[in-house]
Amino acid sequence: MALILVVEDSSFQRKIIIKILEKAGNKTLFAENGIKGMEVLETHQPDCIFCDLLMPEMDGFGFIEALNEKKISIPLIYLTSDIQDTVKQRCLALGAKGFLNKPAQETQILGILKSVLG
Amino acid sequence: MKITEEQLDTIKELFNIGVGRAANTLSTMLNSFIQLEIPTVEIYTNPDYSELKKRLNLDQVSTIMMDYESTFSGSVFLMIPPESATNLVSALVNEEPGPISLDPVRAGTLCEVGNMIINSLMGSFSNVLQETVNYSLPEYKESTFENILLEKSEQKETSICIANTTMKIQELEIRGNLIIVFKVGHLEKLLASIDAI
Repeated sequence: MALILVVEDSSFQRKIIIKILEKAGNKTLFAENGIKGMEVLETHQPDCIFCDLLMPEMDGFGFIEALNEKKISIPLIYLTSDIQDTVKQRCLALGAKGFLNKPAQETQILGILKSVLG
Repeated sequence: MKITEEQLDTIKELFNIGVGRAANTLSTMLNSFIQLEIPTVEIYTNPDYSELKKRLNLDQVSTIMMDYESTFSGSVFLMIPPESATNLVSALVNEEPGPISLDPVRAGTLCEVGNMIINSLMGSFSNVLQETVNYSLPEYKESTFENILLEKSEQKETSICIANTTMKIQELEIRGNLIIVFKVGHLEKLLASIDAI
């Protein structure tokens, strides 16, 4: 069982992702944007983070940059509607451990989580 | 402005790829087969919105809108008749259709669906043309076809590109229009990118 932080502004998407993660026996935390995500990390140490890209206040790029700046090395997987190859390359270059396009299927989400957590 | 057959063909193909990808997205979300009509694509400069409204049979529309910035910039709209939007939300949240209203669940769900569909479309443009596109957050509005487009078409030389398609999801018939409004001079920039392929 792992503790997963879901950083996602859409309550609709959060519900879907959290349901998949919890059904597989994981515990979850959530934040509505990158700033809230950083606040959660002040008090919790999740094993992995699923993060959207396009969010208000602090987007997914800003969030991973903030993690890098604070030298927080929790594996981060992007889950985004953005299908651009250049965006995927940028995310991986910034240190993301995975990149999935929405809507991701249960097998994809749990598969990438398993590969990231080892 | 003159658009060559080849340029128009490429734009149609980019819409085809994007709409196909959008249908695949919806199919995954709804876990159901989606029958897709090939979209008709039309380009207008200085459009007469009241004439377009009649022809597309769109008056009051549920709209998800995102601005985009790239070599070519503007706004993209997914317009759905309100009854189609209600059917779509009901299918997604597994509830019976309720009254048409601006409740937060409806707006939030449509925003996220619109985000995925618009990304499917513009991402296809980006991947083929190798131009990165940056997006604003999606915005949801219910208003008339003309009001929504006029807000983003203040300049007289505005060009718009309309793809009209119908997706049949099981018994539900979800009709939708994807509309790209270009900033002044930016359709020409898109055409230049197409010519450079």
